[in-house]
Amino acid sequence: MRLASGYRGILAGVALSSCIVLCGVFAPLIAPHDPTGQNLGERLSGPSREYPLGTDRLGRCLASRLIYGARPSIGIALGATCATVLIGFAVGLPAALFPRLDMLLMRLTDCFFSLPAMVLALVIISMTGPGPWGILLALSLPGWPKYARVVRGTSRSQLALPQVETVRCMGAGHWYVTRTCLLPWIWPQTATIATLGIGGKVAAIAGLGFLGLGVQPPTPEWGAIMVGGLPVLGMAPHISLFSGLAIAATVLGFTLLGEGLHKIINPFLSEVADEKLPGQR
Amino acid sequence: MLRFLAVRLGALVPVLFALSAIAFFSLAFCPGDPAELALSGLMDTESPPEEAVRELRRELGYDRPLAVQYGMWISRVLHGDMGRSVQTGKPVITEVGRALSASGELAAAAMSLTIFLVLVLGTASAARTGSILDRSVLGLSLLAITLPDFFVAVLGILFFALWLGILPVAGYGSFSHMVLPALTLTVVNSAIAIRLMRTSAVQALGSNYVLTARAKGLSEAAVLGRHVLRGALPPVMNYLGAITGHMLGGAVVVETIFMWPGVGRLLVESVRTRDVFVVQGCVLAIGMTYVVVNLVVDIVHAGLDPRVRDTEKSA
Repeated sequence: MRLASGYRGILAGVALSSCIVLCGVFAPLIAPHDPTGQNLGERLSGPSREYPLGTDRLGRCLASRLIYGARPSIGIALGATCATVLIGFAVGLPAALFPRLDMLLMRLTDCFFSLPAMVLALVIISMTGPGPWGILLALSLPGWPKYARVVRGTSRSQLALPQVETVRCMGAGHWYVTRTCLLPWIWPQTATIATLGIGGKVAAIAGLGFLGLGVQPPTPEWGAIMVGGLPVLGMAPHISLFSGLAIAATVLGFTLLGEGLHKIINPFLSEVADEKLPGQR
Repeated sequence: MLRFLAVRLGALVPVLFALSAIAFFSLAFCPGDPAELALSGLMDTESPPEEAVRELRRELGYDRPLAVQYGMWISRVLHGDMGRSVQTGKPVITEVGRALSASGELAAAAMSLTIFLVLVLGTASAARTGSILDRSVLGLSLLAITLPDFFVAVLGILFFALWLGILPVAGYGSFSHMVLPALTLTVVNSAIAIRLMRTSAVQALGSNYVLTARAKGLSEAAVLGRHVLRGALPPVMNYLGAITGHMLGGAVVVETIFMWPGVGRLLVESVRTRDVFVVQGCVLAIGMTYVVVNLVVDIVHAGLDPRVRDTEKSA
């Protein structure tokens, strides 16, 4: 069977991202070694039969660490994406349904665009301290305004349609209108952005880990593994390269998946990549 | 135009208020007592005398309600007093000022390179859609969108500094130190802008004024350089403005890797060492640059494109 070119991207995205998610879920079954087990005789060795991707400074198996590293990255990224979508709905829907709240809620939303997302994340971590919950908060708070804008925009254009107006004239309550007239239209839009957002959040988590302000050791985390390889980059480039590839592959997987969804759902719109802001990848 | 300016400046008020609130709360909600932190930095001891802490707390107003604290804090900030760094003992405003100028150098270099690439590659691939150049530009830019900035930086260090040995790994001071961080920032930020430029130029190429220009017998270079560019530029410029703000204040990771003493690195260092006054100074500085850059871009945009002024009027 031949596939249209638009579907090749989404297939690659599904394959890549599900592969990485499965790696994280079944990490204990796949990983060849204990991710924290040290073998000081084999420090910084390159890929071999015993250690498929080589070892790090303490002789720990890099492949196992990368496989286990999928867990915090994917887990926190999914959690933060859910949180951002929920907050986005909670702000965007009332803004569209109640014109009096609109001005207030949207000005509030604008305020979150006054700082780069990474900077806001760092400020939050300076208050909460690094840790899974701190990171979750640090990624969710800068992330939701985008969803709030999309939810509000789509809802408003729906509410302006004559059929929706008719439903409201017949005495339908806000909840009924939301459920039958708004959600079916908002859903596909937000699902697309959310899928793209997972990739961006994985990169942001790794960035925080890279700065030493993300998931703390001894939990294996991609960004932390990568920065651990930096001092020995000349001798053992495999540590930073493979961990970087793991991050890039995850981001690519979810980006392809998201853009594929976007092409299928909104075939006539321009590429999503054109609409993204810098720093909100 | 005046009306547009008034509306645009009015919209700044809540943003500036929110920015100051974020900066204020980053200190108010941080674990530990600000007065004690400030004194332990000044006196270089872990536990400053109880009497002095109470004195300073009263002087700075940290024993008053939150709203009063905020008022006293903002009046101090407006007088240029943001406290002293707990780590170095120098005034926060000096530290942040120095870091901002370093960030400015880097952003200027990266931005010039980005603008050059966007104009040349974007227009060229739009003029020859489907060619090898166009397809490689599209493919490479997708790759650059996917790669996180720290990975690009590591690849750059590995290739240019360690294998070829032609550039220093990290540091600050000479032109060669600036090449790798500026390249990294350019690669990471220009990809989307190049695609945007291409899309915009393709649209412009199909418009009637370009047809007119061609019918007048202008050379292809003149058509592209004078007519297509002018029509295609406004949406791209908006995006470039957003990138400028991001390079000035959001280059946190890149500045940290290359040990560039900019405001992003200062922020990371101060978060790491819990130097709360410097965190606050960095947040204010980054937010202000962001807001000012966006304001300038909007004004220039409105100056170039009368349609923007009109929509703002009717809104």
